[in-house]
Amino acid sequence: MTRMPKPLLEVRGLKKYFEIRKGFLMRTVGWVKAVDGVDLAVYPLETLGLVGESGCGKTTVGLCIARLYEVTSGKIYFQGADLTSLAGEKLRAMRRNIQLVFQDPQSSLDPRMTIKRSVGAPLAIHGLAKGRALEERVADLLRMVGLDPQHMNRYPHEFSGGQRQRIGIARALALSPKLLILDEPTSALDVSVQSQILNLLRDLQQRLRLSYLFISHDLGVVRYMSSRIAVMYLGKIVELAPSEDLFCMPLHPYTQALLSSIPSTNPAHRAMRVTLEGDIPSPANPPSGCRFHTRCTYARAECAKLEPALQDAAAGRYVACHFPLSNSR
Amino acid sequence: MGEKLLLQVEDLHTYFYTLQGVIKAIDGVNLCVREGEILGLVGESGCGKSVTALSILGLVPSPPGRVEGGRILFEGEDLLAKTPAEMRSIRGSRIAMIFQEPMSSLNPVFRIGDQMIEVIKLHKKVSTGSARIQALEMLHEVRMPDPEAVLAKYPFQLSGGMLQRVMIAIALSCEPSLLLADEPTTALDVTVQAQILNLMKDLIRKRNAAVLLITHALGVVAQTCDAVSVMYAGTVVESGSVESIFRSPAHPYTRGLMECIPDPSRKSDKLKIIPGTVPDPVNPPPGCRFHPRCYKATATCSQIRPDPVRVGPGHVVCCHYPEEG
Repeated sequence: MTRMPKPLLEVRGLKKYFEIRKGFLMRTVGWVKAVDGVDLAVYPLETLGLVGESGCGKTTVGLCIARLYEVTSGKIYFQGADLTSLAGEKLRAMRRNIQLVFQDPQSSLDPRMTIKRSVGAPLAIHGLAKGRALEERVADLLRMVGLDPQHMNRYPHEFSGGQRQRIGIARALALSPKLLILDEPTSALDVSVQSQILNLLRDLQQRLRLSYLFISHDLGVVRYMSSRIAVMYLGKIVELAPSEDLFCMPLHPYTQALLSSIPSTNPAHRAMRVTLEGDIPSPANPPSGCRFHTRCTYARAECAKLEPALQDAAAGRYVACHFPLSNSR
Repeated sequence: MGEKLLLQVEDLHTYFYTLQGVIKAIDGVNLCVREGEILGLVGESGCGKSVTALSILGLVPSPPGRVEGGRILFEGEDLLAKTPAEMRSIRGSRIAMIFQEPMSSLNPVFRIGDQMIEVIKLHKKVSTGSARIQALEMLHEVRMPDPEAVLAKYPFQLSGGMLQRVMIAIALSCEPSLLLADEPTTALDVTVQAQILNLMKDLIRKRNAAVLLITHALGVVAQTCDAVSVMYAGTVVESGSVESIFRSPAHPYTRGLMECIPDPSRKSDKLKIIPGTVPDPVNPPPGCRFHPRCYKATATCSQIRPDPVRVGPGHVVCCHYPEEG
């Protein structure tokens, strides 16, 4: 890959810890290390997929980037400006560029607001349009996501799940953002509707020249959407690679296990599965050394002692493993 | 796998009477499960797959629901003719069930051990001591780490995967001949899903029990089941062996469903879509229920409901124009 423009978004050493409080005085007794040192970059017009199992911290990364969580430490640069140091009016202006689409459109839309108010809310908050102009902009946005603008005075409950997700996308596009953070945008939808939404997102990306951070646990969906993919495990990125390379030749044992856990729709491929033993450890008390060593089939003594850093593995690939897989295995 | 039929559902109708009108959740479903077979029942949400399971178990909430017609034959007996008391003794012993959310199927204020022992005592008439031993054996069998300690734990102290193991242990503790599993792995992560599916398959094969596995995930069906029935809007549109359905899906809906899932094993350019959404169950379309979304629908499709057609050995499809090859 020769493409090396400046990243639109760059995250360096991102950490987000949540306090565990207990007892009558609610003393802090520990920390849940939801995100523990994440580095990633999203380049203009690309889709970076962020995959991992529940509790690995992928949603927290998205919410930190949107500054909906205060970060514990680390830097987030958007077009070169550090988001973590912004406040007040400057933060609000920067937020126009980064918008979110959530998993469950049922709970992310206010049931008592017409969709005109919901989709128009960002415009009203930022003072960009009102009255007739606002109505026209909302109509444009609804058309853009394939909904009939005549329905703008209806309430969310009058729409199906797929239509509601279209409304959520229209709202996210209201401020003409440059980056969309898509947090499991199709996980609550049926497969026949999921494909409609995925295709819509790809069309919109081309048409509006958007960049996506696509967060999902569904590897098939991530492969379809992303140019590059980052795999997270217990608050850390264990592997980052162009999506085709990742799927054809995973370097991290966790990535390999994750790929082989996907139930293939080909009944003939039954035998070739490597399944992981055990559950994900608790992020409040992660294992020493490499966090994956407790479930890794290739773990050796030093894996429990030394934590591997995310290292350059050539050809735009990065892996955090002492003994990365290679062709020979 | 035996050739003997274990469960046979014939022309089942289950309706819900609501203020919005009569919801025909199930409108003529036919299914059969052979002894020792794993049958996958697939479809999108609202197609009636869970209501089918509830109808078999005699657990349709009434009112508003009612089984309006059809027969459910289990080991030769018609379950619809049973009294509530007879059904209660069948459920949990001869037909067991596992639901999607293990957290909400277990009582949060009782220990795991007490809940397991209760089921065993209820159906087997044994002492608490021997029920406890059996509970421990079952936890061993579902490969639960440290079963002794788990007996004394409360549900919230276990992870989703561990709870689903407990549910499987409870379901299999009375040696059922049929297990109904409604989306047993949907709430779990993929790595844990793979463990649970493998475990379920092993234990079922060992006991020669049959499973009706309800799921929306075609991958799960392809990996786990022997046969499949595909449901759409309250009817079964296609059924056959896993091999023949995945090799040559004959119903346009089945084919569409397979093509619109992004395949993780290869790069796809543009996803196929099924246009539109699942129809309103109060006013389902006349004729073939899929015709408003079907690319090959004709006037016949909107008027006449298609009868089952045989397209291969044991492969049946309800379509006027089945796909070929």
